[in-house]
Amino acid sequence: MLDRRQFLKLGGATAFATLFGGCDKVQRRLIPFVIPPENYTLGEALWYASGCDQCPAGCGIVVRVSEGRAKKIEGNPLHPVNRGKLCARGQAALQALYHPERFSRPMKRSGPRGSGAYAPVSWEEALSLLMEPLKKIKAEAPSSLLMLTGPMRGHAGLVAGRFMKSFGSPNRVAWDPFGPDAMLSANAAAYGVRDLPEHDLANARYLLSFSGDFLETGISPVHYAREYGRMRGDRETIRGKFVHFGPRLSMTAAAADLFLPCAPGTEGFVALGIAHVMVRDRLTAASSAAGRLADDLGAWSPEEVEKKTGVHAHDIAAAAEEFARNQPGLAIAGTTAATCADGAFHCSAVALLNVLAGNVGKPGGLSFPNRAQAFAKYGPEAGLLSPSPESGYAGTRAALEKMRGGAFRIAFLSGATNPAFTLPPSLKFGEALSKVPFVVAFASFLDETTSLADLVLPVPTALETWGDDLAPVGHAGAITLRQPVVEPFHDTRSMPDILIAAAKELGGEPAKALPWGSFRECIEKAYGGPGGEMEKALQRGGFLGEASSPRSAVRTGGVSLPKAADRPLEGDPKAFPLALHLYPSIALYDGRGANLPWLQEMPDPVSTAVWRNWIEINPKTAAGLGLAEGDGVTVTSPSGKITAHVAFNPGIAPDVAAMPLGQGHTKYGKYANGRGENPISLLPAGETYALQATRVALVKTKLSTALARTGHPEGQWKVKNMM
Amino acid sequence: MKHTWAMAIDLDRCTGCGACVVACNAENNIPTIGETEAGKNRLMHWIRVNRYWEGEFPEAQAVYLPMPCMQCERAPCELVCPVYATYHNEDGLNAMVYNRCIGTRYCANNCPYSVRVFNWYDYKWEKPLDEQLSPDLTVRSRGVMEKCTFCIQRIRRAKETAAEEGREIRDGDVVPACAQTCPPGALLFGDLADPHSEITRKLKDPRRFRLMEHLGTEPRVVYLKRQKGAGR
Amino acid sequence: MSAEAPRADDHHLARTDEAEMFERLSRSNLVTTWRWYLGVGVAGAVLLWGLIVFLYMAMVGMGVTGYNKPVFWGLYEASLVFWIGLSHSGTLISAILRLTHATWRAPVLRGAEAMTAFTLMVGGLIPIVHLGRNWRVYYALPYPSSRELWPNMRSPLMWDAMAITTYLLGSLTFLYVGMIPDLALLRDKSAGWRRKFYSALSLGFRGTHEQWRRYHVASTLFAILIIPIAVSVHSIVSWDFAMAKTPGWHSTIFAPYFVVGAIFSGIAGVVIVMAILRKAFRLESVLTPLHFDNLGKLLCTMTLLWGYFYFTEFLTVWYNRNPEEWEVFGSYGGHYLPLFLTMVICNFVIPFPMLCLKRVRRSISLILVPACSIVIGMYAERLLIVIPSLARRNDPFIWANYFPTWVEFSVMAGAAAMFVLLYMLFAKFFPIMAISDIKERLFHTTGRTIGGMTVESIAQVEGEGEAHA
Repeated sequence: MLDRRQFLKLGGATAFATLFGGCDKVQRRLIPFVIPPENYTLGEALWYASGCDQCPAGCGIVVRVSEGRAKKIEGNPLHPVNRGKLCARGQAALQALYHPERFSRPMKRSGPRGSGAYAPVSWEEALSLLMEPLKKIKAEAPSSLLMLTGPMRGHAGLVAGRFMKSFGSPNRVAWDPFGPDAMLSANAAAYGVRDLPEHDLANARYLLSFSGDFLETGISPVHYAREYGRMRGDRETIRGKFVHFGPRLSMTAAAADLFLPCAPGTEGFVALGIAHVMVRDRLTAASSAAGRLADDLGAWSPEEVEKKTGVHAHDIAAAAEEFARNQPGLAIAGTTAATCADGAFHCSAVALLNVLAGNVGKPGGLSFPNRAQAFAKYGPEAGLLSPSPESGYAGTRAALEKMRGGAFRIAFLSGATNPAFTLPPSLKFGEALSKVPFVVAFASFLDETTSLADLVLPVPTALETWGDDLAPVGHAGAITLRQPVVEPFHDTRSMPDILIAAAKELGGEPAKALPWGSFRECIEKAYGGPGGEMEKALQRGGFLGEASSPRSAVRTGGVSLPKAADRPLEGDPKAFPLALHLYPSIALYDGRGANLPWLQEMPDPVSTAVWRNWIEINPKTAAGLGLAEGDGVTVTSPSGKITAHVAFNPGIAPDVAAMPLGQGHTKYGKYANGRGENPISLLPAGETYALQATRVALVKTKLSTALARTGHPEGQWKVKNMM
Repeated sequence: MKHTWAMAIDLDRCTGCGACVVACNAENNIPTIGETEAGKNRLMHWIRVNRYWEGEFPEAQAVYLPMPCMQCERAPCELVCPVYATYHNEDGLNAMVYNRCIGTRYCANNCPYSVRVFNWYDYKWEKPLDEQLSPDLTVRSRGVMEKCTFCIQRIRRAKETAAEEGREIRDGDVVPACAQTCPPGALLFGDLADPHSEITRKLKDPRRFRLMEHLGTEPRVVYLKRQKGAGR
Repeated sequence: MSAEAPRADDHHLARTDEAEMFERLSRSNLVTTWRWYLGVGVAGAVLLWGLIVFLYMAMVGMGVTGYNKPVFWGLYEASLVFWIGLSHSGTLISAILRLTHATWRAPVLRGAEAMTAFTLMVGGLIPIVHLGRNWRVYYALPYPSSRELWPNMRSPLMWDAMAITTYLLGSLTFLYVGMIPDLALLRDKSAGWRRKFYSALSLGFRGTHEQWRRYHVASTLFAILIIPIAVSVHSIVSWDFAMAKTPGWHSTIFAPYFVVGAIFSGIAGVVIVMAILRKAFRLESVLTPLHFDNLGKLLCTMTLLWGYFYFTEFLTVWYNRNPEEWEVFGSYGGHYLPLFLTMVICNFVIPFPMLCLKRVRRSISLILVPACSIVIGMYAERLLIVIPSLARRNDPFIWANYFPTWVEFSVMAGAAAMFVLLYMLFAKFFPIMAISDIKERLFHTTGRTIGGMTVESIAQVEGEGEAHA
C-alpha cells in the first residue's frame, strides 16, 4: 500500500523525470513514428481455423482474432479445397458477422405477413411460441411439418434429418439454386456415377470449357481457380491450354487462350462436333466407345455443327485435334450450360469428350472420390451428412404444390438460398407460403423469404458456430471442422441447437434421435471430444489428411449418344429478339452477398459496375437499338418485365443479352435494396430450374438511377496505351 | 538486413476475380463509399483490377491488369510532396505518413499509375461494422492521401517475429493480403535482395515487364506477360 | 469620343490649376457615392458566402466538390493560375514602362500595381483553399517544429509558395514606395483621422530634393528587381505542372508560355480595370483613349505571341503523337471541345482582328470586347491546362471527367469578390492615380502646334530628379 509520504516522493520523482527527462532527447529523426521503436509491439492476434459458408464450396478458413473480435479471414493453407486461397465472398464474411442489420434477438411478426414488421421477444417466449404448435402437430399430424433449407452438410444435416424423421415428417426439402442437377444426371449417364468428379486441372495439358464459369461461380471457384493457376504456371515446360466455348465473354472465358463464341444453348452440339472429329480421325483413346458412337455421331460433322452453333468448322476440327493430341486434357461443362432447359444433354455431350479422350481416373483427368466414405460410420445415414449437391428444385416445387393444398401447418425456413428471391415468381412462393399457418425462420438477416415468417429465430453466422462440413469437390475426403472463432456477437442460437432443444422438449422419438445436450456436444461426440484427436483437428481446421480412395465403379464403356431435347427458349424470336443469358454474379452469388458493402463495391470483373445490376449486350446490338453504355432499358420477356442499365460486352453474341443474378432485392436491408431489379422474374416456371430459358426484347427507357462503373467507356478500349 | 520488397503479377494466371480487392479492404481498413460516390469515380480501393476490351466480336477479348501501388524506386509522388508525407523508407517502399499529409493531392497528380486515393470525406463504418477494423493501422481522416503499402504492417510483424526468434526473415514470411488470397496465385511477393527467394527466381522469366517503363519510375511491381498457346 | 478627350493644352502644368487637378485625380478619395456602398456591400456579401462555403467544405471534406480520381485538381488550381496570371499586368508593366520612360504610363501605373497586389492576395489564398487539410497548412512552413521536419524543397509547390510570397512582398513594396509622394500630398490636403493615417504612411515625405532623389533611385531599383521576379513567378507556377510526369503538363515550353499568357491576361485585366476606374471616378481627362490605344497595341502583340506559343506546343505533340500526350490533346476535340473552342475564339479569333483596328483600340467601349474575351479565354485556357491532362491520365481505364459543383463556383466567386472588395477599399483610401507621376509628366510635356494639329512633346531632362525641387 502507498502511504501519503511515499506517494509524494513518487509523485515528485515522476514530475522530475517528466520535466527533465524530456530535455536531453532531441529528436534527430525525420519521421520517427513511421518506423516505430523496437519495443513497440503490435497487439497479439490469434488465428482460428474454421469453415466458410458464403457458398456451398466449403473452403477452409483461418480467422484473425484480436481482442475478441474477428479482423480478417484468410484461406486455410492446410485445407485441400482452397490451400490458403479465398475468394472475395469468403473475405467478406466478416461483414456478415458485424452487419448492422443482423437479427440480434428473436422476433415475432407484428404486422401483416411480408410487411417486415417485427417486435423483439425473449428466447423463452420465442421457444414457447415455437413449441406449442409443434407439440400440437406432433400429436395430430406430424407430416404437416415442412423444413425448407439450403443445402445442409455435416452433422447439421444429420440433426435436421434425424429431427424430421423422428418427428414423423418426410417433408424435408433443401433448395440450392445452383445445384448442378444436369451435371449429376449427365455424370450418371456418362460415367455411371451420380456425383461430381474431381477435375485434375493442375496436371491437365488441355482444357475445353463449355460455358464453364469454373473460375468465378462454379461449384468451387477457389479450388478451380487455384488448380487453373497451377495448370498455367506451375510446370516447368508445360502450360495447359484453355479453349472456351460459350455465348458470352465471361471472366472465365477471358482467361482462355481461345474464346470461341457459340449460340446460346448450343454448347452440347459443339461438344458433339468435337466428338465427331475425334472419332472420324481416330483420335480417341477409348476405341470401343468410339466404335459404338461412330454411327450416331455421323450427323454431327463440324459443318453441320457450324450451322447450328455459329462456331467455325475449322475451329471445331482444330480444337478436337489439339484436345486429342494434348492429353491428359479435360472437358468441363459449366453452370450456364447446365442451367439450359436441356442442360443434361449439354453436360452429357461434354462428358462424352472425357470418355472419348479416356482421361477418367488418370492424372490430369477426372476421378470420383468416394463422398460417402468420409461418414461411412453412419451407414445409411451418411447421406444426411454428405448429401449429393442437388438443387432440390423438384422437391421444392412439389412442396409448393402441397403448401397450396394446405398440407403444411408449420414451415421451418433456413439457409441463405432465399427461395422467395431465387425461385421464378411464377411459382408464387409467397402465395403458397401464406397457406401455411405458422412459419418459423432460422435466419441472421431479414430477406425476402424471412420476411414471410411469423417467428424469426436468430442464428449465429458460420464464424460463431460449431459444425463440420464436407466440400462438394476438392475435398479429398477431408472433413472441415467449424468452431466459433469469436464469442457469439448477438444473442443467437444455431438451428441444430434449437432442434436439439426442441427434440428434448418433445420427448419420445425425437429426444432419442437427438441425444445431445447441444450441437457442440454432438460434434465433440462425433470427433472424439476435447483433448483427443479433435483438438488437433480444430487447430488444423478439420481432419484434412484423410485421402479417400476413388470410387471403383466408374463405367466408361457403355456410353451412348445423348439425345438433345429440343426445348426452344420461351418467346417468339420476332417479338423477343435476344436470348436472355443469366449467370450467377461473382460477388453476390445467388444474391446472398448483396447486403455486404464490400461485395457491392467490388467492381464486376466484366462490366466493372458496382452497387447495381446491368444488362450486357454487344455494342453492335446496342447500336441497332440506339443504346449507349449506361442507358436505361426495359427488358421484357413473355413472363415478366424489369428495367436495367446497359453495359457493353464486345464478346457477347449479338443476339444475346446477359444479366447477372443477385441484385434486385426488396427486403434485404439498405445495402441490398433498390439496386436494380431481379432478373429471375423474367423466367418462366419450368420443369427444371433453367436460367437460360427465355428470350427478351429491349426498349430504351429513361431511368432515374445511373450505373456506376470503374472503367471509362472510351478508355477501357485503349489497352495499347498501357502495355 | 536490407530488403528489396517486390511483387510479381503473373498475367497468365490472373483471372480478374477481384478477391485481392476485397482482401485488401479487409486488411487495410478501406472504407466503402456507396453508389453515389462510386459513380463519381472515388472508390477507395488500394488495388484495382483494370479490365480492357480488345477487338470485336467474335475475336473480342478482355485483358485484366491488377494495379496496386507500384512502389517505384524513383517515385514521382515522393518528389512533389511539400511536407514529406510520402517518402522512401529504408526498405525502399513508398511510405505514407497520414498525419503529415495536408492534402495537396500533388502526389496523386504525379503518379502515372493513378493508384493513390484521397479521403474526400471522413468515411464512417456503421456500427458495429467498425468491429472489423484492424488495430494494426489507422483509419484515415478526411483530406488525406492514401495508397497500397505492400501491407507494411505485415512486413513489420514479420520483422518482429524474426527478431524475436533471432533469425533473418525467410522467404514467404511476408505476404500481403492480396497475394495471400489470390486464388490462381497470380500475385507473388518477396524480397529481391534474397537471391534464393521465389520472386527472384520468378523474375528471371523473359516474360517480365514493368508498366510505363519509359517514364523511368523503376516500379517494384513487375508483371509477367500473358502467354499464348500450349507449352513454354 | 474625341469630344471627351481633353486638349493637350489642358495638361500643361502651367495652365492647370493644381488644386483642381488634385480634386480631379482624387475624386475616389474625396467623393463617396451610393454606388460605392452598393459595390462594397455586394462584394462583401459574395465574399462572405464564399467564406461560408469554404468552411463548409473544410468541415465536411473535399468530397463536396466535383473532384475525383484522377482529376485531383480542377477549378481551384486553374483559378490559382488565372489570378496569378492577372497579377502580371501591373507591376511588370509598370516596371517596364518606368524603365523605358514610356510617357503615357503615368495614369496607368497605380491602378495596375494595385491590381497586381490584390490578385496576388487572392491567388495566394487558393493554395490554402484547395488543401484537403487546410488547418494543417503550417506543415508547409519552414518553422522549427519539434520533429525537426523541414518542408520538402524539392516540391514545386514549395517553390510556388516562395515565389508567390516574394512577388507579393515585392509588389506591395513597389506599390507602397511609388505611393509615398502621393500619400504625402493626401496628408497635406486632409484633416482629422485621415491626416494621421496618411502622415504615418507617408513616412515624413516632404518633397525635399534629397527625398525626391532617393525616391527616384528606389523606384527605379524596384522596377529593375521586380521584372525578374515577375518572370520567375509565373515560370514557377508553370512548373507546378511542367515538373509533373503528367502527360500534357510535362513540357519545357510551359514556363515562357505561362509568362506570356500571364502578361496577356494581365494587360486585358488592366484595360478592364482602367475602363472601370475611368468611368467610376470620372477620370476621362486623365485616362485618355491614347492610353487604351497603347495598351491595345501591347495586347495585340501578346495575342500573336500567345497564339504562336500555343501553336508550337500543339505542333510538337501533333507531330510526335506520343500516345499519352495525344490522348490529352485528343480530348480537346472530344469531351473538352467547348472549352477548347472558347479558348481559341476568345483568345485569338475575337481579339486579334479587333485589336488590329485603331478604331477599336481608341474606343473605350469597343476595346472592352477583346479585353473581356481575353480574360474569359485565358480562364478557359487555364481550365484546359489543368483538367484534360488529369482527366486523360496515362492509364486509360480510370479516365474520368470533371465538372465543378456549386462549392467550387461559390468559393471562387468569393475569391473574385475579395479582389473587387480589396480594390474598392484601396481606391477609397489610397490615391488610385499616381498624382505625382502625372504631374511629373505634365511638367515635361508641352503642347506644340505642328501644322493644324497640337501634339504632345516631351522635354527629356538629363539627370532626372534634379529637375524637381
